[in-house]
Amino acid sequence: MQRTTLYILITGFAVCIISCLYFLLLALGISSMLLALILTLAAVGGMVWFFIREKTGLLSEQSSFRMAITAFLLLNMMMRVDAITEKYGGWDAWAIWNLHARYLANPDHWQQLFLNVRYGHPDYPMLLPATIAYFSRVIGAGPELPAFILGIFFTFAIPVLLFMQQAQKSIIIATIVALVPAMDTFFLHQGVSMYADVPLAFFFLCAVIAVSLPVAYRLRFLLAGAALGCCIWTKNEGMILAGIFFLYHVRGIMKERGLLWLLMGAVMPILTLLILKVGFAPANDLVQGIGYHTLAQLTDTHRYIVVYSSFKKILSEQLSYMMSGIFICGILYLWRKVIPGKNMMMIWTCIIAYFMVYIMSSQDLEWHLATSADRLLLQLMPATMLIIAEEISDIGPFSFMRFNFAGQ
Amino acid sequence: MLPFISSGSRLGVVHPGADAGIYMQCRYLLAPVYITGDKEQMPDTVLYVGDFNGRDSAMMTQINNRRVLWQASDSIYHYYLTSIR
Repeated sequence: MQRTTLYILITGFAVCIISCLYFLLLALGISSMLLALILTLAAVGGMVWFFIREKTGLLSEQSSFRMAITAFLLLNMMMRVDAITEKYGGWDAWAIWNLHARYLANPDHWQQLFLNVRYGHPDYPMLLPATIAYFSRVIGAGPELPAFILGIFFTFAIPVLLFMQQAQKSIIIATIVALVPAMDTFFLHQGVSMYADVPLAFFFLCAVIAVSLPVAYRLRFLLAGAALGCCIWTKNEGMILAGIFFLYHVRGIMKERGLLWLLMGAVMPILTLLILKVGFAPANDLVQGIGYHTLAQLTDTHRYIVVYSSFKKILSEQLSYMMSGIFICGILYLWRKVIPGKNMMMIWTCIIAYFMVYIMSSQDLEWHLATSADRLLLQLMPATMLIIAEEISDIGPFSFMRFNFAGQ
Repeated sequence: MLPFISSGSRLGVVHPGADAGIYMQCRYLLAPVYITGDKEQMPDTVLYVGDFNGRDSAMMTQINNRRVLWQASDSIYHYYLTSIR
Protein backbone atom coordinates (compact mmCIF):
# COMPACT_ATOMS: atom_id res chain seq x y z
CA MET A 1 0.00 0.00 0.00
CA GLN A 2 1.14 3.52 -0.78
CA ARG A 3 1.89 5.68 2.22
CA THR A 4 -0.37 8.37 0.71
CA THR A 5 -3.26 5.86 0.50
CA LEU A 6 -2.96 5.18 4.22
CA TYR A 7 -2.93 8.91 5.00
CA ILE A 8 -6.09 9.47 2.95
CA LEU A 9 -7.82 6.55 4.68
CA ILE A 10 -6.78 7.87 8.10
CA THR A 11 -8.10 11.35 7.24
CA GLY A 12 -11.46 9.81 6.33
CA PHE A 13 -11.55 7.88 9.59
CA ALA A 14 -10.56 11.01 11.50
CA VAL A 15 -13.66 12.73 10.12
CA CYS A 16 -15.71 9.80 11.43
CA ILE A 17 -14.07 9.98 14.88
CA ILE A 18 -14.67 13.73 15.14
CA SER A 19 -18.35 13.29 14.25
CA CYS A 20 -18.86 10.37 16.65
CA LEU A 21 -17.18 12.14 19.58
CA TYR A 22 -18.98 15.41 18.90
CA PHE A 23 -22.37 13.68 18.73
CA LEU A 24 -21.69 11.56 21.84
CA LEU A 25 -20.67 14.65 23.83
CA LEU A 26 -23.88 16.40 22.74
CA ALA A 27 -25.90 13.34 23.72
CA LEU A 28 -24.23 13.38 27.14
CA GLY A 29 -25.08 17.05 27.53
CA ILE A 30 -21.45 18.19 27.38
CA SER A 31 -21.07 21.29 25.26
CA SER A 32 -17.38 21.95 25.90
CA MET A 33 -15.55 22.47 22.62
CA LEU A 34 -12.24 22.16 24.43
CA LEU A 35 -13.09 18.67 25.62
CA ALA A 36 -14.26 17.75 22.12
CA LEU A 37 -10.99 19.07 20.71
CA ILE A 38 -8.82 17.21 23.27
CA LEU A 39 -10.69 13.93 22.77
CA THR A 40 -10.54 14.28 19.00
CA LEU A 41 -6.81 15.02 18.99
CA ALA A 42 -6.17 12.11 21.34
CA ALA A 43 -8.25 9.68 19.25
CA VAL A 44 -6.90 10.80 15.87
CA GLY A 45 -3.32 11.01 17.18
CA GLY A 46 -3.63 7.52 18.68
CA MET A 47 -4.98 6.15 15.41
CA VAL A 48 -2.20 7.74 13.34
CA TRP A 49 0.46 6.41 15.76
CA PHE A 50 -1.14 2.95 15.70
CA PHE A 51 -1.20 2.68 11.91
CA ILE A 52 2.20 4.24 11.28
CA ARG A 53 3.79 1.93 13.89
CA GLU A 54 2.42 -1.01 11.91
CA LYS A 55 4.10 -0.12 8.64
CA THR A 56 5.87 -3.53 8.44
CA GLY A 57 7.67 -2.53 5.27
CA LEU A 58 4.45 -2.68 3.24
CA LEU A 59 4.09 1.05 2.87
CA SER A 60 5.81 2.33 -0.24
CA GLU A 61 6.77 5.89 -0.99
CA GLN A 62 5.25 7.82 -3.84
CA SER A 63 7.53 8.13 -6.88
CA SER A 64 7.87 11.56 -8.49
CA PHE A 65 6.21 10.27 -11.68
CA ARG A 66 3.15 9.17 -9.74
CA MET A 67 3.17 12.45 -7.86
CA ALA A 68 3.07 14.28 -11.20
CA ILE A 69 0.01 12.30 -12.34
CA THR A 70 -1.68 12.88 -8.97
CA ALA A 71 -1.02 16.61 -9.28
CA PHE A 72 -2.48 16.55 -12.80
CA LEU A 73 -5.61 14.78 -11.48
CA LEU A 74 -6.06 17.33 -8.70
CA LEU A 75 -5.47 20.29 -11.00
CA ASN A 76 -7.95 18.92 -13.52
CA MET A 77 -10.63 18.51 -10.83
CA MET A 78 -9.95 21.93 -9.32
CA MET A 79 -10.45 23.62 -12.68
CA ARG A 80 -13.71 21.76 -13.25
CA VAL A 81 -15.37 22.21 -9.85
CA ASP A 82 -14.89 25.95 -9.94
CA ALA A 83 -17.70 26.31 -12.49
CA ILE A 84 -20.19 23.93 -10.85
CA THR A 85 -19.98 24.83 -7.16
CA GLU A 86 -23.01 26.42 -5.48
CA LYS A 87 -22.60 28.42 -2.27
CA TYR A 88 -25.26 26.54 -0.30
CA GLY A 89 -24.88 23.23 -2.17
CA GLY A 90 -27.75 21.28 -3.70
CA TRP A 91 -31.27 20.94 -2.27
CA ASP A 92 -30.46 17.99 0.02
CA ALA A 93 -27.36 19.79 1.29
CA TRP A 94 -29.16 22.76 2.80
CA ALA A 95 -32.52 21.02 3.37
CA ILE A 96 -31.03 18.00 5.15
CA TRP A 97 -27.29 17.73 5.82
CA ASN A 98 -26.32 21.34 6.50
CA LEU A 99 -29.67 21.91 8.23
CA HIS A 100 -28.81 19.09 10.64
CA ALA A 101 -25.39 20.68 11.11
CA ARG A 102 -26.98 24.00 12.05
CA TYR A 103 -28.99 22.27 14.77
CA LEU A 104 -26.03 20.23 16.03
CA ALA A 105 -23.94 23.40 16.24
CA ASN A 106 -26.24 24.65 18.98
CA PRO A 107 -25.47 22.64 22.15
CA ASP A 108 -28.59 23.90 23.96
CA HIS A 109 -31.31 23.32 21.37
CA TRP A 110 -29.84 20.70 19.02
CA GLN A 111 -32.58 18.19 19.89
CA GLN A 112 -35.17 20.37 18.15
CA LEU A 113 -33.74 18.75 15.02
CA PHE A 114 -35.73 15.61 15.78
CA LEU A 115 -39.01 17.51 15.58
CA ASN A 116 -38.43 18.13 11.86
CA VAL A 117 -40.17 14.98 10.71
CA ARG A 118 -41.70 16.64 7.64
CA TYR A 119 -39.03 16.70 4.85
CA GLY A 120 -36.29 16.82 7.51
CA HIS A 121 -35.16 13.17 7.74
CA PRO A 122 -33.85 13.53 11.30
CA ASP A 123 -33.11 9.79 11.42
CA TYR A 124 -30.25 10.12 8.92
CA PRO A 125 -26.79 9.23 10.27
CA MET A 126 -24.68 12.17 11.38
CA LEU A 127 -21.15 11.74 10.06
CA LEU A 128 -21.36 14.78 7.81
CA PRO A 129 -23.63 17.03 9.93
CA ALA A 130 -21.73 16.41 13.17
CA THR A 131 -18.33 17.08 11.56
CA ILE A 132 -19.66 20.21 9.86
CA ALA A 133 -21.24 21.38 13.13
CA TYR A 134 -17.97 20.79 15.00
CA PHE A 135 -15.91 22.83 12.54
CA SER A 136 -18.55 25.55 12.15
CA ARG A 137 -18.33 26.04 15.94
CA VAL A 138 -14.53 26.07 15.74
CA ILE A 139 -14.52 28.80 13.06
CA GLY A 140 -17.61 30.52 14.47
CA ALA A 141 -19.46 30.63 11.15
CA GLY A 142 -22.22 28.84 9.25
CA PRO A 143 -21.96 25.28 7.94
CA GLU A 144 -21.27 26.13 4.29
CA LEU A 145 -17.47 26.44 4.39
CA PRO A 146 -16.78 23.25 6.41
CA ALA A 147 -19.31 21.39 4.24
CA PHE A 148 -17.61 22.58 1.08
CA ILE A 149 -14.12 21.64 2.31
CA LEU A 150 -15.33 18.18 3.34
CA GLY A 151 -17.03 17.76 -0.03
CA ILE A 152 -13.82 18.71 -1.83
CA PHE A 153 -11.77 16.29 0.30
CA PHE A 154 -14.00 13.29 -0.39
CA THR A 155 -14.44 14.13 -4.08
CA PHE A 156 -10.76 14.66 -4.78
CA ALA A 157 -9.66 11.72 -2.65
CA ILE A 158 -11.60 9.17 -4.72
CA PRO A 159 -9.68 9.50 -8.04
CA VAL A 160 -6.41 9.81 -6.09
CA LEU A 161 -7.16 6.61 -4.15
CA LEU A 162 -8.13 4.81 -7.36
CA PHE A 163 -4.88 5.90 -8.98
CA MET A 164 -2.66 5.05 -6.00
CA GLN A 165 -4.22 1.65 -5.49
CA GLN A 166 -4.02 0.60 -9.12
CA ALA A 167 -0.67 2.24 -9.93
CA GLN A 168 1.10 -0.59 -8.16
CA LYS A 169 -0.18 -2.98 -10.83
CA SER A 170 -0.35 -0.84 -13.95
CA ILE A 171 0.25 2.85 -14.27
CA ILE A 172 -1.71 3.00 -17.55
CA ILE A 173 -4.86 1.34 -16.18
CA ALA A 174 -4.48 3.39 -12.98
CA THR A 175 -4.37 6.64 -14.94
CA ILE A 176 -7.42 5.69 -17.01
CA VAL A 177 -9.44 4.51 -14.02
CA ALA A 178 -8.68 7.69 -12.05
CA LEU A 179 -9.02 10.13 -14.91
CA VAL A 180 -12.51 8.96 -15.90
CA PRO A 181 -14.25 10.03 -12.65
CA ALA A 182 -11.94 13.04 -12.36
CA MET A 183 -13.34 14.30 -15.68
CA ASP A 184 -16.94 13.30 -14.99
CA THR A 185 -19.05 16.39 -14.38
CA PHE A 186 -21.86 14.37 -12.78
CA PHE A 187 -19.51 12.90 -10.17
CA LEU A 188 -17.79 16.22 -9.46
CA HIS A 189 -21.10 18.06 -9.24
CA GLN A 190 -22.47 15.55 -6.73
CA GLY A 191 -19.23 15.86 -4.77
CA VAL A 192 -19.30 19.61 -4.39
CA SER A 193 -23.09 19.64 -3.85
CA MET A 194 -22.28 18.80 -0.20
CA TYR A 195 -24.37 15.62 -0.28
CA ALA A 196 -23.44 12.46 1.65
CA ASP A 197 -23.37 10.15 -1.37
CA VAL A 198 -19.77 10.86 -2.37
CA PRO A 199 -18.50 10.42 1.21
CA LEU A 200 -20.34 7.09 1.34
CA ALA A 201 -18.78 6.13 -2.00
CA PHE A 202 -15.37 7.07 -0.55
CA PHE A 203 -15.79 4.88 2.53
CA PHE A 204 -17.10 1.93 0.51
CA LEU A 205 -14.04 2.27 -1.73
CA CYS A 206 -11.84 2.32 1.39
CA ALA A 207 -13.41 -0.96 2.55
CA VAL A 208 -12.68 -2.59 -0.83
CA ILE A 209 -9.11 -1.26 -0.76
CA ALA A 210 -8.59 -2.52 2.81
CA VAL A 211 -9.59 -6.12 2.07
CA SER A 212 -7.44 -6.07 -1.07
CA LEU A 213 -4.31 -5.38 0.99
CA PRO A 214 -1.73 -8.16 1.31
CA VAL A 215 -2.53 -10.80 3.94
CA ALA A 216 0.72 -9.84 5.71
CA TYR A 217 -0.74 -6.45 6.57
CA ARG A 218 -2.50 -7.58 9.71
CA LEU A 219 -4.42 -4.33 10.21
CA ARG A 220 -6.33 -4.72 6.96
CA PHE A 221 -9.48 -5.98 8.68
CA LEU A 222 -9.27 -3.16 11.20
CA LEU A 223 -9.15 -0.70 8.29
CA ALA A 224 -12.02 -2.54 6.56
CA GLY A 225 -14.08 -2.47 9.76
CA ALA A 226 -13.43 1.24 10.24
CA ALA A 227 -14.45 1.89 6.62
CA LEU A 228 -17.66 -0.13 7.00
CA GLY A 229 -18.45 1.65 10.27
CA CYS A 230 -18.00 4.97 8.47
CA CYS A 231 -20.39 3.76 5.72
CA ILE A 232 -23.04 3.01 8.34
CA TRP A 233 -22.53 6.36 10.10
CA THR A 234 -22.68 8.32 6.80
CA LYS A 235 -26.02 7.24 5.28
CA ASN A 236 -28.73 4.67 5.92
CA GLU A 237 -27.77 2.97 2.64
CA GLY A 238 -24.39 2.38 4.25
CA MET A 239 -26.00 -0.35 6.33
CA ILE A 240 -27.02 -2.19 3.16
CA LEU A 241 -23.55 -1.80 1.64
CA ALA A 242 -21.79 -2.85 4.86
CA GLY A 243 -24.10 -5.87 5.27
CA ILE A 244 -23.51 -7.08 1.71
CA PHE A 245 -19.77 -6.45 2.01
CA PHE A 246 -19.65 -8.50 5.21
CA LEU A 247 -21.61 -11.39 3.68
CA TYR A 248 -19.23 -11.59 0.73
CA HIS A 249 -16.08 -11.44 2.84
CA VAL A 250 -17.17 -13.27 5.98
CA ARG A 251 -15.41 -16.52 4.99
CA GLY A 252 -12.07 -14.79 4.44
CA ILE A 253 -12.49 -12.79 7.64
CA MET A 254 -13.21 -15.89 9.72
CA LYS A 255 -10.44 -17.86 8.03
CA GLU A 256 -7.87 -15.24 8.91
CA ARG A 257 -9.36 -14.65 12.37
CA GLY A 258 -10.10 -11.08 11.47
CA LEU A 259 -13.59 -10.74 12.95
CA LEU A 260 -12.35 -9.12 16.15
CA TRP A 261 -10.25 -6.62 14.19
CA LEU A 262 -13.22 -5.85 11.94
CA LEU A 263 -15.50 -5.25 14.93
CA MET A 264 -12.85 -3.14 16.65
CA GLY A 265 -12.72 -0.90 13.59
CA ALA A 266 -16.48 -0.56 13.31
CA VAL A 267 -17.50 -0.41 16.97
CA MET A 268 -17.41 3.35 17.54
CA PRO A 269 -19.61 4.47 14.61
CA ILE A 270 -22.00 1.53 15.15
CA LEU A 271 -22.48 2.38 18.83
CA THR A 272 -22.95 6.06 18.02
CA LEU A 273 -25.53 5.21 15.39
CA LEU A 274 -27.36 2.95 17.84
CA ILE A 275 -27.51 5.79 20.37
CA LEU A 276 -28.89 8.11 17.67
CA LYS A 277 -31.46 5.62 16.40
CA VAL A 278 -32.61 4.27 19.77
CA GLY A 279 -32.30 7.38 21.89
CA PHE A 280 -33.20 10.30 19.66
CA ALA A 281 -34.28 9.73 16.06
CA PRO A 282 -37.82 8.97 14.89
CA ALA A 283 -38.39 5.92 12.70
CA ASN A 284 -37.14 5.99 9.12
CA ASP A 285 -39.90 6.87 6.67
CA LEU A 286 -39.06 4.05 4.25
CA VAL A 287 -38.92 1.42 7.00
CA GLN A 288 -42.12 2.78 8.54
CA GLY A 289 -43.78 2.55 5.12
CA ILE A 290 -43.32 -1.22 4.93
CA GLY A 291 -46.61 -3.01 5.44
CA TYR A 292 -49.05 -5.36 3.78
CA HIS A 293 -49.05 -3.24 0.61
CA THR A 294 -45.32 -4.05 0.24
CA LEU A 295 -46.26 -7.61 -0.70
CA ALA A 296 -48.46 -6.27 -3.49
CA GLN A 297 -45.60 -4.06 -4.66
CA LEU A 298 -43.26 -7.05 -4.77
CA THR A 299 -45.56 -8.81 -7.23
CA ASP A 300 -46.28 -5.74 -9.36
CA THR A 301 -44.37 -6.25 -12.63
CA HIS A 302 -44.93 -2.65 -13.69
CA ARG A 303 -42.78 -1.43 -10.79
CA TYR A 304 -39.93 -3.71 -11.91
CA ILE A 305 -40.15 -2.30 -15.44
CA VAL A 306 -40.12 1.31 -14.18
CA VAL A 307 -37.14 0.74 -11.87
CA TYR A 308 -35.26 -1.24 -14.53
CA SER A 309 -35.81 1.54 -17.10
CA SER A 310 -34.57 4.16 -14.67
CA PHE A 311 -31.45 2.17 -13.68
CA LYS A 312 -30.73 1.38 -17.33
CA LYS A 313 -31.00 5.06 -18.26
CA ILE A 314 -28.64 6.14 -15.48
CA LEU A 315 -26.12 3.40 -16.19
CA SER A 316 -26.13 4.14 -19.91
CA GLU A 317 -26.02 7.93 -19.62
CA GLN A 318 -24.63 9.38 -16.36
CA LEU A 319 -22.50 6.34 -15.45
CA SER A 320 -21.87 4.94 -18.93
CA TYR A 321 -18.15 4.50 -18.25
CA MET A 322 -18.92 2.26 -15.26
CA MET A 323 -21.32 0.18 -17.34
CA SER A 324 -18.77 -0.06 -20.17
CA GLY A 325 -16.19 -1.38 -17.72
CA ILE A 326 -18.61 -3.97 -16.36
CA PHE A 327 -19.43 -4.97 -19.97
CA ILE A 328 -15.72 -5.39 -20.80
CA CYS A 329 -15.31 -7.55 -17.69
CA GLY A 330 -18.30 -9.63 -18.80
CA ILE A 331 -16.67 -10.28 -22.18
CA LEU A 332 -13.40 -11.21 -20.45
CA TYR A 333 -15.18 -13.66 -18.14
CA LEU A 334 -16.77 -15.37 -21.15
CA TRP A 335 -13.56 -15.36 -23.14
CA ARG A 336 -11.40 -16.70 -20.32
CA LYS A 337 -14.21 -19.00 -19.12
CA VAL A 338 -13.91 -17.78 -15.53
CA ILE A 339 -16.62 -16.76 -13.10
CA PRO A 340 -16.76 -13.11 -11.97
CA GLY A 341 -14.63 -12.26 -8.93
CA LYS A 342 -16.13 -11.97 -5.46
CA ASN A 343 -15.99 -8.18 -5.45
CA MET A 344 -17.71 -7.90 -8.82
CA MET A 345 -20.50 -10.18 -7.57
CA MET A 346 -20.74 -7.98 -4.49
CA ILE A 347 -21.29 -4.88 -6.64
CA TRP A 348 -24.07 -6.62 -8.57
CA THR A 349 -25.67 -7.67 -5.28
CA CYS A 350 -25.56 -4.03 -4.13
CA ILE A 351 -27.23 -2.90 -7.37
CA ILE A 352 -29.94 -5.56 -6.92
CA ALA A 353 -30.43 -4.52 -3.29
CA TYR A 354 -30.90 -0.88 -4.32
CA PHE A 355 -33.27 -2.07 -7.05
CA MET A 356 -35.38 -3.84 -4.43
CA VAL A 357 -35.41 -0.75 -2.18
CA TYR A 358 -37.31 1.06 -4.94
CA ILE A 359 -39.64 -1.89 -5.51
CA MET A 360 -40.59 -1.80 -1.81
CA SER A 361 -40.55 1.99 -1.44
CA SER A 362 -43.68 3.56 0.01
CA GLN A 363 -42.90 6.86 -1.74
CA ASP A 364 -44.20 7.81 -5.16
CA LEU A 365 -42.00 5.58 -7.32
CA GLU A 366 -41.34 8.00 -10.21
CA TRP A 367 -40.48 10.82 -7.79
CA HIS A 368 -38.32 8.57 -5.64
CA LEU A 369 -36.35 7.32 -8.63
CA ALA A 370 -35.98 10.78 -10.14
CA THR A 371 -34.66 12.30 -6.93
CA SER A 372 -32.27 9.60 -5.74
CA ALA A 373 -31.51 6.68 -8.09
CA ASP A 374 -28.57 8.37 -9.82
CA ARG A 375 -26.96 9.24 -6.48
CA LEU A 376 -27.43 5.71 -5.14
CA LEU A 377 -25.73 4.18 -8.16
CA LEU A 378 -22.98 6.80 -7.90
CA GLN A 379 -22.23 5.49 -4.39
CA LEU A 380 -21.06 2.25 -6.03
CA MET A 381 -19.06 3.87 -8.83
CA PRO A 382 -15.60 4.30 -7.21
CA ALA A 383 -15.50 0.76 -5.77
CA THR A 384 -16.76 -0.60 -9.10
CA MET A 385 -14.06 1.28 -11.03
CA LEU A 386 -11.38 -0.19 -8.78
CA ILE A 387 -12.82 -3.69 -9.11
CA ILE A 388 -13.08 -3.33 -12.90
CA ALA A 389 -9.44 -2.21 -13.07
CA GLU A 390 -8.32 -5.14 -10.91
CA GLU A 391 -10.35 -7.65 -12.93
CA ILE A 392 -9.00 -6.31 -16.23
CA SER A 393 -5.40 -6.33 -15.06
CA ASP A 394 -5.77 -9.77 -13.46
CA ILE A 395 -7.66 -11.73 -16.12
CA GLY A 396 -7.57 -9.50 -19.18
CA PRO A 397 -5.28 -9.67 -22.21
CA PHE A 398 -3.75 -6.36 -21.18
CA SER A 399 -0.57 -7.64 -19.65
CA PHE A 400 1.41 -5.07 -21.63
CA MET A 401 -0.39 -2.43 -19.57
CA ARG A 402 1.25 -3.80 -16.47
CA PHE A 403 4.37 -1.96 -17.57
CA ASN A 404 5.08 0.57 -14.90
CA PHE A 405 6.93 3.72 -15.86
CA ALA A 406 7.96 4.29 -12.29
CA GLY A 407 9.69 0.95 -12.18
CA GLN A 408 7.94 -0.02 -8.96
CA MET B 1 -34.96 39.00 12.37
CA LEU B 2 -32.95 36.52 14.49
CA PRO B 3 -32.56 38.92 17.46
CA PHE B 4 -36.36 38.74 17.88
CA ILE B 5 -36.41 34.96 18.07
CA SER B 6 -34.86 32.83 20.79
CA SER B 7 -32.93 29.73 19.58
CA GLY B 8 -35.21 27.41 21.52
CA SER B 9 -38.47 28.90 20.30
CA ARG B 10 -41.12 27.54 17.96
CA LEU B 11 -42.28 29.49 14.97
CA GLY B 12 -45.03 29.01 12.41
CA VAL B 13 -44.52 29.90 8.76
CA VAL B 14 -47.34 30.85 6.40
CA HIS B 15 -46.45 31.33 2.75
CA PRO B 16 -48.32 31.49 -0.57
CA GLY B 17 -49.17 28.32 -2.49
CA ALA B 18 -47.75 24.90 -1.80
CA ASP B 19 -44.11 25.81 -2.34
CA ALA B 20 -42.16 23.68 0.14
CA GLY B 21 -39.03 25.62 -0.82
CA ILE B 22 -39.98 28.73 1.19
CA TYR B 23 -40.79 26.62 4.23
CA MET B 24 -37.49 24.73 3.90
CA GLN B 25 -35.50 27.93 3.40
CA CYS B 26 -37.02 29.46 6.52
CA ARG B 27 -36.17 26.31 8.45
CA TYR B 28 -32.58 26.39 7.23
CA LEU B 29 -31.99 30.08 7.89
CA LEU B 30 -33.64 30.13 11.31
CA ALA B 31 -32.29 26.83 12.71
CA PRO B 32 -32.17 25.79 15.55
CA VAL B 33 -35.59 27.46 15.88
CA TYR B 34 -38.29 24.83 15.29
CA ILE B 35 -40.38 25.82 12.28
CA THR B 36 -43.77 24.36 11.50
CA GLY B 37 -45.98 24.91 8.49
CA ASP B 38 -48.83 22.91 9.96
CA LYS B 39 -51.87 25.21 10.11
CA GLU B 40 -53.51 23.07 12.79
CA GLN B 41 -50.62 23.54 15.21
CA MET B 42 -49.52 27.12 14.64
CA PRO B 43 -47.55 28.55 17.57
CA ASP B 44 -48.23 32.07 18.90
CA THR B 45 -45.49 33.55 16.74
CA VAL B 46 -45.91 33.26 12.99
CA LEU B 47 -43.79 34.45 10.08
CA TYR B 48 -45.87 35.41 7.05
CA VAL B 49 -44.08 35.37 3.70
CA GLY B 50 -46.18 37.17 1.08
CA ASP B 51 -45.84 37.53 -2.66
CA PHE B 52 -44.50 40.98 -3.58
CA ASN B 53 -46.45 41.33 -6.80
CA GLY B 54 -49.81 39.78 -5.98
CA ARG B 55 -50.88 40.97 -2.51
CA ASP B 56 -52.67 38.15 -0.77
CA SER B 57 -55.73 39.82 0.80
CA ALA B 58 -56.56 36.82 3.02
CA MET B 59 -53.01 36.84 4.37
CA MET B 60 -53.09 40.61 4.89
CA THR B 61 -56.31 40.24 6.90
CA GLN B 62 -54.65 37.67 9.14
CA ILE B 63 -51.62 39.92 9.59
CA ASN B 64 -53.80 42.92 10.44
CA ASN B 65 -55.43 40.91 13.21
CA ARG B 66 -52.02 40.22 14.78
CA ARG B 67 -49.25 42.27 16.30
CA VAL B 68 -46.43 42.86 13.80
CA LEU B 69 -43.04 42.47 15.56
CA TRP B 70 -40.84 42.99 12.54
CA GLN B 71 -41.25 43.39 8.80
CA ALA B 72 -39.03 43.54 5.73
CA SER B 73 -39.17 43.16 1.95
CA ASP B 74 -36.91 42.00 -0.85
CA SER B 75 -37.42 41.83 -4.60
CA ILE B 76 -39.72 38.80 -4.32
CA TYR B 77 -41.46 38.69 -0.93
CA HIS B 78 -42.76 40.69 2.04
CA TYR B 79 -41.93 39.23 5.45
CA TYR B 80 -44.03 39.86 8.57
CA LEU B 81 -43.06 38.39 11.92
CA THR B 82 -46.23 38.47 14.02
CA SER B 83 -47.59 37.35 17.35
CA ILE B 84 -51.11 37.13 18.77
CA ARG B 85 -52.46 40.38 20.20
